[in-house]
Amino acid sequence: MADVLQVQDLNKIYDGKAIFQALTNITFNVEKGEFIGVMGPSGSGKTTLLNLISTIDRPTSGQVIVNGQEPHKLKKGKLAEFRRKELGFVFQDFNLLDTLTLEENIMLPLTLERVDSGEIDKKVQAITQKLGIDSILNKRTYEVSGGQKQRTAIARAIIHQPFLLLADEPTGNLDSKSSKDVMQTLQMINEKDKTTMLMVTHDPSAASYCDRVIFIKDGKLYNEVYKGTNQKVFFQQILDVLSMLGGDPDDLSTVRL
Amino acid sequence: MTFPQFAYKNITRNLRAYLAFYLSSSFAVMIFFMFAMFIFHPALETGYMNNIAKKGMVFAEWVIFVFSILFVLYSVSAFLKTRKSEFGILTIQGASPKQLRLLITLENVFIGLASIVTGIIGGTVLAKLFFTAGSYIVEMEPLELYFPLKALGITIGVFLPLFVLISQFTLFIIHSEEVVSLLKGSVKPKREPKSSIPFSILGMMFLGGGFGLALFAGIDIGSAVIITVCTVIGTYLFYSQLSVWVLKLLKRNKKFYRKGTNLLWISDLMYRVKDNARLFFIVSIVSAVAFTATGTLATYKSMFTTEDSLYEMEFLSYSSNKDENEQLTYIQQQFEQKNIDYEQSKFKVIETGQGSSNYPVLVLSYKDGIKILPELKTSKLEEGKGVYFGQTEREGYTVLQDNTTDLQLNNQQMSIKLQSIEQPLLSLHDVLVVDENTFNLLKQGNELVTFYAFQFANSKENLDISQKIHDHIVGETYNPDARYSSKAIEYYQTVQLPSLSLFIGLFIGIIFFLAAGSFLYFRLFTDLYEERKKYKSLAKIGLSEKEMVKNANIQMAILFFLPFLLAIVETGFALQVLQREGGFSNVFQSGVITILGFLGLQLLYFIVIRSSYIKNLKEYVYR
Repeated sequence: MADVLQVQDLNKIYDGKAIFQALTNITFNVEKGEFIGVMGPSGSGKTTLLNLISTIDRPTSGQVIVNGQEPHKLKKGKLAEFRRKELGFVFQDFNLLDTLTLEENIMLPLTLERVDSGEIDKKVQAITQKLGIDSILNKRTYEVSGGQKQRTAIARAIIHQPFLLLADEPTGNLDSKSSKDVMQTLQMINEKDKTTMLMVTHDPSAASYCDRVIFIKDGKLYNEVYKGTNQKVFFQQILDVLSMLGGDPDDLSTVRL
Repeated sequence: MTFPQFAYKNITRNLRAYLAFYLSSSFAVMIFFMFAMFIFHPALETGYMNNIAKKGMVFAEWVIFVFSILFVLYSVSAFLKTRKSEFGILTIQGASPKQLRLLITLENVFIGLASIVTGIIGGTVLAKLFFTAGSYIVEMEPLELYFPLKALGITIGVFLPLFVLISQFTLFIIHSEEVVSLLKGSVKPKREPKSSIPFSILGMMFLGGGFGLALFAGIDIGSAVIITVCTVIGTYLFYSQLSVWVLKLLKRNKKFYRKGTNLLWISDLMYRVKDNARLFFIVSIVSAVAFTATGTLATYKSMFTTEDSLYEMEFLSYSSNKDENEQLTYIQQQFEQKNIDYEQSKFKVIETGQGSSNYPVLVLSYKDGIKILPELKTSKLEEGKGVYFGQTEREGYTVLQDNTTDLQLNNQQMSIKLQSIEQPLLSLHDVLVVDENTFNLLKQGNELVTFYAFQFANSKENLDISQKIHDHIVGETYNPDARYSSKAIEYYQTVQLPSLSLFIGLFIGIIFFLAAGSFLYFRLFTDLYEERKKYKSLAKIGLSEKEMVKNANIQMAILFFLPFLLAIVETGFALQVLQREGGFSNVFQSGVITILGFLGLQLLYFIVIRSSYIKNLKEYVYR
């Protein structure tokens, strides 16, 4: 299958008083329809990597190729369009607007695209039914639980059918029950819609929903683990790598299975 | 570390957080102080201003103070919102409510003192600038900068207690909340506002009632108060209730609501209706006051037209005047004391009334007429006809019809055809020159009065002796036996006084305009942090820079121009009342010019603020 995402020799150096190399020669590919996890201790460069892929930050050297395009070579205006059309984002703190209802939050990318109002309704309805949030659409962000917020954010991220869904600690602010809901939602989207996903996480149980997990330590690729048939076995494998990785034991959140 | 030290370090080490509060307080103090400085200016103390204008200005000062309170409260609550979590931490660490109160009071007093000092210094500098610039604009001598002891006292006496009181008030906010919600701080989002139908209708009624009364009701103090109260309440309800309805209508129109960034700014407006209502209300009222004051005071400038007299001073003495010689000597003494070379002329003239309104005119014989105006010789005066020096129209009605004047003569009227009508000769009265026969005829039935005229150089500089002579001859109000007129006084009343009142109008206008502008400014920049965060997360999901700028533009334009528009409407009604009831005949014209001027200023202000705001957003969001 074709690679949706290619990351080649990616380097990121932060200038300043103390020059800091956040990423060193990161190379990996993500196939179409793959669900890939990125793990590593705090400060290992996970979020930097995600920011580079999501075009929020610029690499010092190396390439990111999404669906055959190099987003970092696009102009500002085109870049926003690229993000809007090709990428979907899910954040740890949801990034929903308090001023909007959940429904309005979900349709936001489509209104920015100036999609016809009737079509918006259809798409919102379809996607919210799939995610089981169609009954709370008229609520505001402060009226619903964290899990519901995150599923709303997922709905917003996939409503325009992006090539690549990027998730940054999507379970970081959630309790274990909500985490499970959210991860199952992501998995379902991945399986049904064949949406390619890349998720950064601390949480080994969340990572166990992926097809493959890449480990980063000190800005370098450390290891990668493929899922076999059994999620529990995969979870154990992830824990093993993490314990080898060392790092802060607090990073390993309590087992949530 | 003592407690005051802790409070002090809190401020100095977190200057950024305190900066907005400090600046906005300084601004309020500055505006108040500038105005106080103006009211207590020695040049205005001594007689230039009449009592009503003075009272109006004291009233304006208190209006400024009331809005300062609102303004400071507004910025203090915005400021505390950002610090809630800090108070939560202190409470958890075991700080007693007493200690918290002490801390906040101390901080407020520190900031209060700093902003009083800053405000007073800034006010002095700005006042000097304005006195100079303003006097240049209205062509009068610049007001001097003086040591404003009274203004200083009032400013400090009013603002220091305000800061202490406000800090007590803010404690209520903190005490009424649980520690948990304090710790969560400003994260807690607000609920969507609800609007009530009765209140919306009430708002319409108040606004409509106020405007209707302004259009049709007779104006006395009672109805003026009612109109003001109606408009003020109506304005508030307009923003807090009616605006919600309008926004809801916009939301219901899905085609419009769901296009591009409309979704963003409409929902944002809706979300902030409560904050906005207060701000818009304050800005509308303050701007309306500014426009009306400036527009009204500016009319004085255009109301009077100088009537040029041939003479620097004119003195008219009736036959009943017993003090004529004494008064004449007094005038001559004044000239001698000042070493003024003067030329005195004396004529016997007839004073009579003309037409149905009995408009006074001085009749001069041709013989004397030639003495005053040698050019008369060239145009031969026909027998029985007259030459008129004056204006055919006066204060709206016609004095002369069909080139004829009807003079009073023994309770009858005598018509005299006018050969020509010329520019006015004297400032006391219009003048009619007739031939000797007609003059003698008129003499029989009318009083003969003595007219003295004085000519000398440098008329405008002689306001003081003119004033002295005026007081001596005419007294405070009116002398039935004598009249007096002087170019210097005339000039002062028709040129300098209007200039002064225009200047005052400008000053009040600018001050209130600055106040309104500063409300908007601090509102924008206290929200900037939240806005930046919002746009940053929107940028991640693909909001382009162009769309962000467009959205910010719309929001700012509404913020800047919606209250402005309502203020213009309110000003229109206020000016209409003044024109109808206050005897300001051309107040609309000056009102329109004033509003256009302010619109220009507002546009400029908008452009400047907008560019720095957008630049800040761009740098943060898109680097």
